Amino acid sequence: MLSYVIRRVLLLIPMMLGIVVILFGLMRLIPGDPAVVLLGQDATPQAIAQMHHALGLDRPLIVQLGIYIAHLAVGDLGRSIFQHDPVSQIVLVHLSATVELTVTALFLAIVIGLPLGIVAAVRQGSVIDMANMVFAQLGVSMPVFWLGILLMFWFAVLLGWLPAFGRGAPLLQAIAAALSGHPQVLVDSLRHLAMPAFALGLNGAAFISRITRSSMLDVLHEDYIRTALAKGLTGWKVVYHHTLRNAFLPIISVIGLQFGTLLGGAVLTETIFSWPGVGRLAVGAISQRDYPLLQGTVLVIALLFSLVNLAVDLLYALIDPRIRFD
Amino acid sequence: MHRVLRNRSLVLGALIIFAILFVAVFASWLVSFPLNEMNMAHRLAPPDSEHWMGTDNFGRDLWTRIAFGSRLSLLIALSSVGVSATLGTLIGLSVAYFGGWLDLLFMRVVDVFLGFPVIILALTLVAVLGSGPVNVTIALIAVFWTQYVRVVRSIALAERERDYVEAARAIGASSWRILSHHLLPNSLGPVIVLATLGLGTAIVAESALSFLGFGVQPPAPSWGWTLAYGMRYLRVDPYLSIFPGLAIMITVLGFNLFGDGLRDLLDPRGISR
Repeated sequence: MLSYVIRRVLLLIPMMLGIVVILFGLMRLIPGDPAVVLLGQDATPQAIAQMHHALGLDRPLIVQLGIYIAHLAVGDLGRSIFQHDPVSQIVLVHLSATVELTVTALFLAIVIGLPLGIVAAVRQGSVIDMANMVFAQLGVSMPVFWLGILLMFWFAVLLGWLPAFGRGAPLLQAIAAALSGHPQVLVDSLRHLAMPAFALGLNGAAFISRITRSSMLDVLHEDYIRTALAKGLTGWKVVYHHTLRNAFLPIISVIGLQFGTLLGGAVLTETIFSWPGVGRLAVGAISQRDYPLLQGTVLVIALLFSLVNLAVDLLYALIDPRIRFD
Repeated sequence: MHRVLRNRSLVLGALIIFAILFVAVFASWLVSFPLNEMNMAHRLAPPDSEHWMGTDNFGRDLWTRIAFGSRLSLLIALSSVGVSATLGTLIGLSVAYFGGWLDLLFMRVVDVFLGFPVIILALTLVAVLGSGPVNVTIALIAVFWTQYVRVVRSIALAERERDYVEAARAIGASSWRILSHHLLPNSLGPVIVLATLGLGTAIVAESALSFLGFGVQPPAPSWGWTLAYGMRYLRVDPYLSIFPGLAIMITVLGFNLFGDGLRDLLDPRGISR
């Protein structure tokens, strides 16, 4: 197992290097001169040349790439053109909001999708199964940004129950505040989190319920399940001990992959609900043509995405020994 | 034929796709107003007998914009998926058959592309290329081709070792013949299923880019952009957000159902699931 883990982690290095090179190349292809963006359209040619020198843009591309990678190695992602702060600092501040949103959305997706899939498989062909299938198809087909708008219309505009925009106190801080006698902080935090997390998580819930149902059905038709039932074991004991455990591999894989999908979906959800995460930061960076910030934000999102995929693969290998020896 | 008709997912999906295609092709005959005709006196009107989906913030008929918008969405989705499926299939077949450094190189490139969440890569590419339908299509091709390489490569790798390929090689069949007559037909089924499901994903991705303001630009009748604009008037005219979203969802649902049905048809083991 250790050699498998080492091999997978080592493979991540060339992949991240590839991502850095592609991003670096893309940023250099963007039309427009960063020096002009910084200095304005009226800048003199001398001032632009000085800025090129200051930014290192007058050096050969390969040297620029080398310098960029050397800076990355010590955690320096450059400086934002408009906010003037280090990109790593800005991204770090926004990253916690995205992680909070995606983890909550994933939690909701599991809590909704897993039981729905299990019940649908156990009661195959019933009304519950049919309802689950309709939910799964609609949930998978519904764009996250539309669901976000519908939720906003219903719960913020019509009913006025939830705030339409923004984020309350960070969830962990809010929990700490609630434990020290300020429950309203937690309530406010959860009220802000509810709509974006649900909008983001519903799609995942539909996927998880689909895969849970189908892998449960695969296992339920195995001979050893029939044997377990014939031995007189009760239905739910068979479902929990014999079926769910064996059906778990593909479910875990989908749950892990969902986390990556949620990271992408967060761009849209954060924009709709003005959630101050890295997705919204990336969209803002494109709008403002703040390329160092865009480059750093996308790089961090890609790193997080790759790490999550790696974690899923490792978890998969931990559960199923066949994969390690493949 | 009986198996096809018994496949509810396939039939329902086909009906929805047919309806959307019908609207897209005959949009000019199905609407009563010119696409960009403004009527400020009638702006943000709720659905009535004249404008059965209401009007937008310029008083333009919403149904007209959604009907013409279907052309745009389908065209971008079909061309991006068509090109990425063709490109991915060709690359997947070639790297699997020839192997060696070519395989190593392409698969590392594929890994790098798959290291980005779809919408993030598409957004970054559109930021580089600029907005507009052609650039959105190019960005989506750059995002989607890798899936086809992976699927086709894995199928072709397995098929390459089969006896019939060995036999073809033994009787002197050229690499081109083995690729086009043996490996390609065996990969087509999964590619068609993936492409059908991919059409839904492409429609959502295009709408998402337009929704964020980086895709198709106004006055083109993009569903995503109309939805984004509708959000500004959520309090006074929710229909402006409801109908474009509904159009996206129904279209994606059609492709998803059809893709699922097709998969069941091509892989009968999965039907009961």
